[in-house]
Amino acid sequence: MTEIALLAEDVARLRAAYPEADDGQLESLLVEAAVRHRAHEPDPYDMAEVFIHEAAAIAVYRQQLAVAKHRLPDAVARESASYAEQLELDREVIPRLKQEAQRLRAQVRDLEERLRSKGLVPDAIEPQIGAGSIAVDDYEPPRFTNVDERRAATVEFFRRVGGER
Amino acid sequence: MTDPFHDFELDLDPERLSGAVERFDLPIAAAEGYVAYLGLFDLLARRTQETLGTDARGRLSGLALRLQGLEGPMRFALYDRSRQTETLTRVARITAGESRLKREWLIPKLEEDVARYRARIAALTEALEAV
Repeated sequence: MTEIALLAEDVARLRAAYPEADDGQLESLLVEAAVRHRAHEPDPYDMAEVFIHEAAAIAVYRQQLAVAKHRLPDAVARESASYAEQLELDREVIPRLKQEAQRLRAQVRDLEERLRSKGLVPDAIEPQIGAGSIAVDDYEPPRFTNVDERRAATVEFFRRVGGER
Repeated sequence: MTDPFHDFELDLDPERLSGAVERFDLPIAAAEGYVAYLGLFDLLARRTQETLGTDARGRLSGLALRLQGLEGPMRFALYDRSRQTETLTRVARITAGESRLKREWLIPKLEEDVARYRARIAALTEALEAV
């Protein structure tokens, strides 16, 4: 036995058409009919057979579309949420930190210059900044103000990278 | 008894369907969506013939014609939705990955840098004041 899913609306229609049969009887009838139809191609002159095969084929698409119809809105919501989070980081958190780092680096340079002017060697004073700090001297904060601008900039970037087609 | 396909045309629009499914354990010979639906619609067509008598042929022919026009648009709709969903999911995954990298690496690194600059400024200021 293998589990199979059928559209609830179609199953309800079947139950309504066979009020005298319980689910076990309906399953037996369904399996018997399914196996019989599976065994041969539909007779193109028998409209009932043509209908049954058409309805079964369309039911598969109807089921896939109905089951998947929530996935696109969910994907849109996830995509918007991920952009909003990234925008929050790119517009608020990271610029604030980078501008603070930029300001402090300028202050370090200024103090080092003042020490040199007094004949001292700043490199001899600990703690050093050391290598590996993130470059912020030429940093300019992003100009995006909302999700749509950010998205448009991303689309434009991929258009330029991918080239016009 | 009423027509088993009463208002069936409305159920052909997937947007109107609930998306709910019922699960059945079927023998392997019928355990494929298309094949199981063959059985389901056979039973409905049979009951239609019992219910509508000579009118059943016309009813089923009309429905068959209606269905024949749907396969192409439905196949395209399925492809288009899958493609859009897949693209958006991929973009969301990439964007979320970038945000995670920023949260877990870039921001802590910048905070660490800021702390080092402050410590350096304190030391340089102290040296300058001592002159």
